[in-house]
Amino acid sequence: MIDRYSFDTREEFLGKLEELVESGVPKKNINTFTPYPVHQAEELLDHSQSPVRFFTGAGAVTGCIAGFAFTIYTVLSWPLVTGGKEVVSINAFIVIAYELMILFGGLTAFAGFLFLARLPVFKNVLSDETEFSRQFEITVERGNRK
Amino acid sequence: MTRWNANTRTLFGAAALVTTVVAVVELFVRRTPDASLLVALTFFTMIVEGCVALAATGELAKGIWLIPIKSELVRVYPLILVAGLLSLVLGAKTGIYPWSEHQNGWLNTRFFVVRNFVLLLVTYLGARKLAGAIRVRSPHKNRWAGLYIGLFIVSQSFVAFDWIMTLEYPWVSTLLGGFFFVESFLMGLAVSAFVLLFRMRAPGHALTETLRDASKMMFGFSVMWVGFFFAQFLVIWYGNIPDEVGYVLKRVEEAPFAGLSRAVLFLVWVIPFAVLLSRPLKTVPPAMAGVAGLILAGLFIEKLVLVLPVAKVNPGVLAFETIVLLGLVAFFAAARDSVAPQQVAGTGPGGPPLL
Repeated sequence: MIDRYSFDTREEFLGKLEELVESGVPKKNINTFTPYPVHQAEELLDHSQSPVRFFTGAGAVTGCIAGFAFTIYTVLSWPLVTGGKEVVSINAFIVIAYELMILFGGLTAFAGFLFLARLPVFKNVLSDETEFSRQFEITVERGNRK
Repeated sequence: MTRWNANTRTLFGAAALVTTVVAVVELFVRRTPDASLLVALTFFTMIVEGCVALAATGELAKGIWLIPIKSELVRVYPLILVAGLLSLVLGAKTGIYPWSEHQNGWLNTRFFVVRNFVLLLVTYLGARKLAGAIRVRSPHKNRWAGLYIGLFIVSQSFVAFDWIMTLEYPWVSTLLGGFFFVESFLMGLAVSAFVLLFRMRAPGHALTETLRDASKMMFGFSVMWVGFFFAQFLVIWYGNIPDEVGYVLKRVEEAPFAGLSRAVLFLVWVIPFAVLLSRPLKTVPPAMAGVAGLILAGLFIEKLVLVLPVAKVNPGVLAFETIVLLGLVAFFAAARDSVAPQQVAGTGPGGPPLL
């Protein structure tokens, strides 16, 4: 059995959520749906941070290193002095490294998300087709959740 | 929560007193042309205009997070008039500019003073209209917010191009105006963090999420600041034109400015980036106070780095003027609104603008 609570404002929603948590409802039985991220709700429900950030961080660091390595290796392999600058000009390479950091970080974040969410799936895509619009929604599963 | 119960007359008196004292110090006590007022006034103008610009942007973007502190931010708008009046005093200090000995159609003392005063006056009038519209919740407040942002961009560009860039005439950077108004906006965000911390001393506040949002904005604009800095630096470094490179070399290679330049980079970007990356720290008031303070300190040192290689300042006068002008900002931001709440709510005729 599922109890549903709908609210028009964030304050009412957070008030009810706090009340449910304090009344002893197991946090794993509570689900929330909000029109935008509400960090206080995550804190109330002790949602741990998503591990996607490790994928993003690893990708970004790899991209940054790859950007510098690629540019430095290239100019050392085929040295061309341009505009009287040093062959290994870090100032100019920062741009390449920065762009690759963003590219790799973005791609690995997306890949990490797909991996952790076990996507893609091709059947039973929507577990709940309810439309919440601008409402703040709390659902509570009564009984033990498996 | 302790707040100054200052009415319009008290605020007006404080502004007039500070303006008079600074003008007297510059015109009668320290007659030699030095850049103390220029540094203090540039910093002051950027903070004040940045605060109002932040409120205007929040109004246009319907920023919910700004609502609790919007009145404090917009309340400092009369200080733009103080900046305008003090810009007239700069007319007596144009000896610090190299063009003062070879004046031309654009760079001559009279036109320099008049155009900057008129521009700050118009910006003040725009801010006054915006403050009035926000106060009475006018349906036209978006229009005034848009107009103010336009004036803010032009005004900050002139602060950069006229007040600072011409110190090394004929050195030219077309990006300096944009760099300055991004800095000004960042200063407004740092002040907003202080306002929030001040408000969070009250028991039962619900401003933690607002502080988190302010921290995110500070993080974003700190990164944007370093992006603008690097965009400017890279072009000058790559072009390697002697006229342009000399300006940078003086500031990043020669002591003591080399150390100060690196300090600016650490204070405005490296440390805020490292601290604000942490999700829990974004809502820790002492951490946010520290970051906002470092950003303001870094941007003040940056003004010194821009000015000191070519113009002298008197440390005592600079410290005095900076402290009284920043004190005035704090006094205005902390002042209790003299308009009754029901008028603010828009049910009454609404209060008149402050000045």
